[in-house]
Amino acid sequence: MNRILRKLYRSDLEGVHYAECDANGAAGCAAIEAKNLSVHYDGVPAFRDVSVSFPPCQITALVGPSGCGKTSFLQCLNRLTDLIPAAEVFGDLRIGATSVFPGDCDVSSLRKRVGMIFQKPTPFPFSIRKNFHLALKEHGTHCSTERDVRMEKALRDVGLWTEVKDRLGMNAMSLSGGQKQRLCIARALALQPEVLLMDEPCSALDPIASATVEELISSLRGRYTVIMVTHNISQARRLADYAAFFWVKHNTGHLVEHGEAKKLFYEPVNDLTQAYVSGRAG
Amino acid sequence: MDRYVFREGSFTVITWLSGIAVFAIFALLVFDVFYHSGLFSLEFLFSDVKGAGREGGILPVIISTSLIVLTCSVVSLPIALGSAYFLFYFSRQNTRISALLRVSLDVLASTPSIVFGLFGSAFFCLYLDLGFSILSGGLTLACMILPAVIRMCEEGLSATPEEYGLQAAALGMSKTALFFHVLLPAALPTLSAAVLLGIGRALSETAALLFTSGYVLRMPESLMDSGRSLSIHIYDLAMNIPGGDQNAYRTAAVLLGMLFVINSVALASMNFCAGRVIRK
Ligand SMILES: Nc1ncnc2c1ncn2[C@@H]1O[C@H](COP(=O)(O)OP(=O)(O)OP(=O)(O)O)[C@@H](O)[C@H]1O
Ligand SMILES: [Mg+2]
Repeated sequence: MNRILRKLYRSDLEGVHYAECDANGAAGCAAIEAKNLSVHYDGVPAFRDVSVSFPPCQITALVGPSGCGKTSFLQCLNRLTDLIPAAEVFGDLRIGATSVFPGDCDVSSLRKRVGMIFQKPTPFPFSIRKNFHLALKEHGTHCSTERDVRMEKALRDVGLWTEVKDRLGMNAMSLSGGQKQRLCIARALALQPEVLLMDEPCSALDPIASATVEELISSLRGRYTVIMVTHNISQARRLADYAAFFWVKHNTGHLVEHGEAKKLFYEPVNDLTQAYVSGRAG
Repeated sequence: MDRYVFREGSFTVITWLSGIAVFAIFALLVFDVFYHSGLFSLEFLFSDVKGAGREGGILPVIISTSLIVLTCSVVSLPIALGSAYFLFYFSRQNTRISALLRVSLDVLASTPSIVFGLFGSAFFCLYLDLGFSILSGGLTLACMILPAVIRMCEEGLSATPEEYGLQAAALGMSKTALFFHVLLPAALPTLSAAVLLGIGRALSETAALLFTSGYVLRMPESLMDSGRSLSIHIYDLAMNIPGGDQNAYRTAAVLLGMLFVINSVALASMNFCAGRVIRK
């Protein structure tokens, strides 16, 4: 009985998961469009007047020196800025067809559509299975068989299934750093997001775990819109289809240049970008 | 080199001596109680009081005590968790108000229990007209243990990594879900230790109950009946009842036994918590 249910759900899910990308953001992945976006902390701008649009289904790298507002920019995209009392956001932001900042935006479902991966992997201190079930239950997946199926699918997607399938009841805290980060990515994927935000996802990992996660991110291309902050220019070169370069001037971040990754990293227009990507500034 | 040896040596000796002193006091106390109580059968626990406590058992006293402690825990548990979360949450938003709240809680926590007894008898017994009753006693005890329990619960919540809040929000989880499904389970060992320590304190309380739940020796029929707690029974037998000494010691032995069980459970859950932190 369980097996039949499982099969049913799986065929059901496949349709949703691998849906064709469309620019409207109905399913698959969504484009992101910011107009004059600024974030202020206690009235002091962290970055200012960023107007940019990121193409759907591609990997976009955000690069720039420390303090130029990359994290703040990412936190706007899923409204994590709401959690910081001092933060104020100005300007306009659209993800797919929805506008992010009007008061009636359903933040919970926005965050389901726009997943986020942090620098420090943060699984909850429960079993691997419960980590998935908690998140899925919150978004209305009440059937536990369906939750299990989605968990398995997400874990397979990140290549963790074979490593943990026999110990799903084990505390997620006892995984290695790289495994934890892949678990967090899988947990975000289980919610079937359209956009994944990653804030330096590899910088807390050793080179080998980092390479595994990098490979995983690359495999997400075409299925999700990935916006990735990284300090590692060569990683950005390897992964990104599109790139944006931020610079900090008078303690405020600005978007200096954005465009195709090849162009930005190999023939930048701006001298600052040229200096930064060749390692002469920043 | 010699100074080093002297310093390290005297440090070791002092720590050992103080450890031994504490243990000796504890051993003396337990010895004293059990020496005077003598061996007694379990029937003491399950039979009715006779002769104002000189003879018979302590069943009504145990029942009253359990009811008082139960009332106290049922009332204080949700309030403690709620206020602890309030403090935990607002200490990140408004540090000044939460610092003030913390200081007032710490003052309340060190207020002598007789003051709580007077407050309870004025407020619960007279003003709310609950009279001398198990309910008044339980509520007074709840007021008494809350400050300390709230502070300990808040420490437990603050000991959870700060990232959980951000991570839960990023998964689209609500604040309620964060509290009930992430923070509470993650802090559960510390929280239960805090609550058990509070209950232990309530169990051994005398002064706060003297004016609120009274010292009637009958078997209580409802929460509105007056009832005598174990510690008041000890006090009464030792001070007011000639020939009640041995039963006073026996009751003390029972109380010690209950405290021992409760504190062992608290300790075990704290160890469990510590083990979990280390394994991270
Ligand atoms: N919660 C906050 N409260 C006040 N100011 C903040 C807060 N978070 C960030 N800032 C400020 O905003 C500016 C941008 O910070 P942000 O973290 O976005 O930079 P970043 O580009 O992510 O840097 P890094 O590369 O070091 O992670 C900084 O000047 C920082 O001091
Ligand atoms: Mg950052």
